[in-house]
Amino acid sequence: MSTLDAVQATLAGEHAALYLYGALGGRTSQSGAPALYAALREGYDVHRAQRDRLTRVLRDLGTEPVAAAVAYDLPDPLRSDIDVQRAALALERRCAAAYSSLVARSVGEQRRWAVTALTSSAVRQLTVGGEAEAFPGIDELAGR
Amino acid sequence: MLVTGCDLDPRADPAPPAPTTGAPAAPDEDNDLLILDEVRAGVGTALALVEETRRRHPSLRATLRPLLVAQRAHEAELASAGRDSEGRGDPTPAVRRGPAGALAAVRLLESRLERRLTDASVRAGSGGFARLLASLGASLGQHLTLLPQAPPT
Repeated sequence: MSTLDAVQATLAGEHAALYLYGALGGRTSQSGAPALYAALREGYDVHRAQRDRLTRVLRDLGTEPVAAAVAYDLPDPLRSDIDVQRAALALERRCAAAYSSLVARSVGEQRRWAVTALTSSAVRQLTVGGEAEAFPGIDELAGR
Repeated sequence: MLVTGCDLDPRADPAPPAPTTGAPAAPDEDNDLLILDEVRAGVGTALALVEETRRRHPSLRATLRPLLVAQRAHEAELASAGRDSEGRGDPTPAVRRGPAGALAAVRLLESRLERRLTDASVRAGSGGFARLLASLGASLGQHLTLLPQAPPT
């Protein structure tokens, strides 16, 4: 996978992340689960900013950014706050893995930005039921 | 379409990157070995401070245990990543007398290490090595978020 492909793949993931965050937020009560709602709101805002940045990067390189799909399948079930939280955690873990991959395939300021996005995703996992890990974003080292 | 937000296989072998995107150059192994030594020294020093702080302040033992476990895993992974360390560790700061000050000193050193890991990741020639360093920094970011501002009462 080339650097450009990695950026496109990360952007595609951000499109899906935004869709999912929107759907999860729509299933969460601001008054009934304020902490979860706030975490989802923050996640949505951060991923929107990251999507916009990746889009700009690709346009600056003269490449057409990958478009969002019309719709995405949602995790099932999504009946309770626990289901929503679990889905958000799984999403952030995938995002951390994507950004760690982008770290490996970029250099300079683009890599620095990817490192920051990885850390941001790892820390956000704590707000949706995640625990601190030794190697966030590196699935093959999980459990060490 | 299945939702795979941010899905990207991190284990995929990097192919030659597109030249227009600031692609990684061929890894400079000597440079990466120097970075490895530098990072191992930093992690070793931070780990020594955590261990000594837990020994001197039993009230902080449980608080610092998750960080200790993670940092031992970091040390082991870095040890497996390259040559034997040349043993040039940074000087370990003295443990402060009170638990509050001792905890603050750990937090300060770990925060500095997190920044050093980010910088080291950016300087690394090998993408895989950069990824490992970035993950170590992200781990410290998580642990620092969970570390209380004041010791347990």
